[in-house]
Formats: sequence, structure tokens, C-alpha cells
Amino acid sequence: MKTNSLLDVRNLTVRFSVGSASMFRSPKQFSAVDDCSLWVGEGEVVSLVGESGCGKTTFGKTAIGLIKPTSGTVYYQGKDIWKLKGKEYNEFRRNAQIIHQDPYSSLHPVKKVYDVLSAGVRYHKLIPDEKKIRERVIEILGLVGLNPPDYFVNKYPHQLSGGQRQRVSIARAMILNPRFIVADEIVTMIDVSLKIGILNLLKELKGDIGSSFLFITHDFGVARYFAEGGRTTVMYLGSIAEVGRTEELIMDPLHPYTKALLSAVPVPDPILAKERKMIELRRIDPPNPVNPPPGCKFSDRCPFFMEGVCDKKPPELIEAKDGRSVACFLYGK
Amino acid sequence: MSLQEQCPNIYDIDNLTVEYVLRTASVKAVTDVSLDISNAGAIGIVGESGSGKTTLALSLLNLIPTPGKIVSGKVIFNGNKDVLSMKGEELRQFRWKQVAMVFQGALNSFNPVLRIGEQTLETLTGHETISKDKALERASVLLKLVRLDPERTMKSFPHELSGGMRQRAMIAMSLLLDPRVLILDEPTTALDVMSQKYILNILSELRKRLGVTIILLTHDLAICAEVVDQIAVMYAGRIMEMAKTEDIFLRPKHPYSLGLMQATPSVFGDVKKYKPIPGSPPDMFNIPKGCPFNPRCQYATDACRETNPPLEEISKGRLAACYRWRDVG
Repeated sequence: MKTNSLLDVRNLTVRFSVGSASMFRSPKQFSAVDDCSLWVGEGEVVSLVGESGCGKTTFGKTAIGLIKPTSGTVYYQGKDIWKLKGKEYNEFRRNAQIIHQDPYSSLHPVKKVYDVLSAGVRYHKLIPDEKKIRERVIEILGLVGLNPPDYFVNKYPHQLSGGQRQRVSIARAMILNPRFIVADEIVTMIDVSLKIGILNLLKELKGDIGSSFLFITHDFGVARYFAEGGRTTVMYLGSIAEVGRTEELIMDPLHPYTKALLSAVPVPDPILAKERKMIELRRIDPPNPVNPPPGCKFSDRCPFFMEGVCDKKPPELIEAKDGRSVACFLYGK
Repeated sequence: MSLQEQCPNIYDIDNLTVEYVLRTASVKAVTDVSLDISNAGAIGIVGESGSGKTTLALSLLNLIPTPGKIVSGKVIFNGNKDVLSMKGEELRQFRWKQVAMVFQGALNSFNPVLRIGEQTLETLTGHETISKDKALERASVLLKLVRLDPERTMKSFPHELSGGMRQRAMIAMSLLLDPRVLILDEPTTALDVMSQKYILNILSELRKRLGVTIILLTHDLAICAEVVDQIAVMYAGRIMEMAKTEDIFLRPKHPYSLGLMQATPSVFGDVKKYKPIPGSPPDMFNIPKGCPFNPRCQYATDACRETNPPLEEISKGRLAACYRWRDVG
């Protein structure tokens, strides 16, 4: 654990049951998150990159206490979040916020923007006076670029476009001045021309408030833009494959999975696109997460597969270089 | 197929306008689009949600759903067939056999209670007189082409395949009747990066091996860089610019294409250069007067706010609908 970490997740495992149980059969279990550790420093941005179904959303939700882990601990400022009580618990709830992926389903359909934004403020008794709450709501709407705020305050979500809704979601998280924010695929559903605008907005707010971010995305380009100067963590089938500083990890990936993933990212440049060669995998399609291969979960697709090593036991996350960790038998002794 | 007369353009679209007539208002989803699609080429139609790219593609198959209506224009296939006047059996034979389409969300367009093999045979026997063995053989050739294991896939139900596998199976199925044109609507959205790359590689291969014309609809410019040789950029139901892929990327001549380029974060290149397009996408009930892009355009002048710039040839094979294309870039 790092001494200056705001959030420290250690050996986190989250299991889900799939299928129904019967008298003779207990339901199958699979680990959405399997023994993952990660820390986020004060004011730091850590991005979590992985394909759909790799467990990154589950990880994010568990990190702010929306899902109870099967095992492992989440420490916020050195304290286990599931053992917090009373005032301390409320403090944590206010300080840890999430912006969900889908702006179409994460806003209450029959509540006006004002109700959505003021609810948290009122609950945490941040501002005693209803008139001042209104001022604060107007202020935050201006900050997230919903101008004029007076116009948006009385709108219902269905009267807003996707980009505007996502801005309301961001405002809802920001209005409580949180110290830690999980941003879960926040630009995936947003039109291309507006993506950069939303990311810039969040970058600015990050500068103003100094919050820490766990930025979840499947898009390396977006991760690179937002987590510039921060760290990036790559996840595959519930396990962490690699951690490193964003720029270094993209320029010099170590884990075969990161290498393959980066080689497949489409680049908006027709000349470069023709030159780039994709790293061929041994199997095109990922395995069913309920039955991952034994040993390293990437072993059945990995082009560097070593028989008798990779299929025996899962690799541990080891420090390969300064500030770079990787879970692969190609590295270390 | 080879006996058919070869025409340089597989599709000639002429001043096409498609309208959806609703109770209170009507929306022009496609306005005055003219486009030539060359035989055995690959064209990308790029636009954000609501730009009219799907409606345009549906009219290529005479498949506009009610309350949609083709107000004006012509769609000519292979130089002599008027697609919009086809009816009944002729239309049924035209679809899939001449032009096949892989719809958006194709992941869910299989029948969930039939095995892939059964659905495949049904398609073949519905259109051609063919023995079961021959049909199976043709299906397995195609499944191999999209890098699936034919035996396993034919026996599977759709839910047993992953998203990427289903999309590839769908592409194989669309090729069953050896169509000359394959239209793909957002074929890689909702797929992970690696499945996406495999599908793009497969499309390039199909072009080379089968000579099929590919029309790729997408919101993601980066995907086009990999497969197509021509790009048409759509906005508010109109074509804003059409050019060779390289020209669009390296020398865009319409402010909207330029804006899209600057708004796409990439894993390579300079992080600093990205900036959003100001404003928000147009309300299709209320398209701005003049050029539909003018409220968001940094080049807009009074002329742009008054009249809509026509799509004109600015150099050989290159079109742009902008009064100020000379100043862009």
C-alpha cells in the first residue's frame, strides 16, 4: 500500500452466480473480479482499460461500495469502507461518487434536473438554506456547460439530448465536491463531435476541485487523453494484466494481451493503418468467462504461450521495471 | 454473375429525398442526396446518430419502413434497374441476391430458437433450388472465410456464440446468395477492439476474393481508414463531403469533416490537437436555415446562413458542399 493513497483496493474478488440452483445442483459461480489490487493517489487519475465483460464496471462499483466484495478489502483513507459507521460512513458516501455509463437510464425519468441535483445536497445537509441550494444548482449547471442554467433547471431528462444528460450526470457527482470519482465509460454513448467536449469539461473540473479519478473505458485513445500523466491499468477476464504510466504503457506494452489490444486499435490515419500489423492470436474469440482456461486466463489465445508454465498456475502481478507491473511469465525470473 | 453486364457504377443515386411523415410534423431524414457507388469498390458513409445514413442505406434496398416515404429521386442499380419501382417477387429476388444488408445490432437479428445451420438452409432454399448437401457445403465455405469453425457454428444456437462470432456468422449468412453488394450498418459497434479488427480484416479479404462491393455505415472515422477507399460524410441528412479516404483524412475540405478529425482521440499522435465541435447535433424537426452545419461552423458567413451550399465537384472525383471549402484545412 502506498502511504499517500486515497483509495486502496486489496485482493478484491467479486463472484456472481449464473444459472438457477436446484435441489441437486448449486448455481455455477464465476469471478467477475478475481484477486485484483489497485490504489489511487490523492488527486491522481487511474484509468482502467479492458474489453466488454472483463469486470471493469464491477470493479468500479465495488470500489465505491455499491457492490459488496466476496473477499478482499477496499480502504478509503486507510479505513475499510464496509466497517464505516454513522458520520464517517456519510462522509465516505459524499466523497465517493460515480458517473454511470448510460445517460439514458441513470437519470430518474420523472424528476426534474433541479430535483436530481439538489437531492444529494439536501441529504448531506451541505447547504441549510433552500435558496442557497438553488444558487448552487445554477452555479454547477453553468460549470458543466448547460447554459443558460435557468432554462435547464426545470427540464425532465427526456427533454435533453444524450450529451446534455451526461452533463447532468457529471453535475450530480460534482455538486457534492467529492474527492474520489468513478467515471464509467462516460463518453461511450456520446456522439463523436461531443466526446472531446465532455472529456475537456471533466479535465477542467478535475483541475478545479482536485478530485481523484478511476476512469473506466475500453478505448485507449480516450484513456490516453484523459489519464495523461496518470496511470493505466489493463484488465482481462477479471484479472489485472498490466499497470504502468499511461504514456509508457501505450508506447511500450509488456503484457502480450496489451500488445495485441494496442495492435488492433483502429487509427484515424489511412497510411498508418495500412502499415500496422495486428498481432495474431492463437484463438480469435475470448473464452466463456464462466470457464476460463487453467493457469493464465489469456493462455489459450496468447501467441507467446509456454506449455507447462502458462497453463499450470496464474501469473502474479510483479514489478517488471520501474513503475511497471505485469502479470506474465515472460517477465521476472 | 460474370455473365451480367458490368457497369462502372453499381449504384447511381440521384437527388434522393426521404421523409418520415409523423402525426404532427414530418422529418426529412435524407435530403437531396446524389451519390455514385462504383462497382467492386468500398465506400464508407460516416455520420453521427440521426444523420440519415441508415435511411439512405435502406432506400438502396427499397426497404424504407412506414411512415417513411421517398419523396423524390432515383436509385438505379447496375445502370439499368430502377430499385424504387421494383415490386413483389422481383424485389424479393433483388434483396439478398443482388444486395445484402447486415443490419445494425445484427447480433440480435438471428432467430433465437433456431440453430445457425437451420437458418442458413432456410435462406438458401427460399431463394434457390439447391440440394441440402450443396447448401451445407456453400455455407461451410463461407463460415470458414469469416474464420469460424463450420461444424460447431452450424450446430449452435445464436446465444451460444459470442458477440464477435455472431457478427461474423451474420456476415457469412449475408453472403450466401453471392450478392454483388454488401451493406453493413455499424458492424463493429458494441464489439470489443479485437473482434472489430478481425471483422475489418475479413471485409478487406471479401473484397479481394469475391469482388463484392462494400458499403460501410459508421460513426467512427478510424474504422474507415482500415477498409474503404472512399468516404461520404453525412450531416443532417445531407452529404457534406465525398472524397478518397486519404484526402478526407489528410486534406479535409469541409469544416465538419475537419471537426470530426480533430474530435477523434487516437492512441498515437499529439494529444494537444483535439478539440470538440461546438454546439450540439441538429434537431431534425428544426434544421437550421442555410447550411445545416452553420451554427457550429467557425467558417460560417452570412451566405451560409441564408442558402444551402450545393454539393459540387471541387476537384476530380471529389465533392464538397461548402461555400468556403478553399479556406478549410
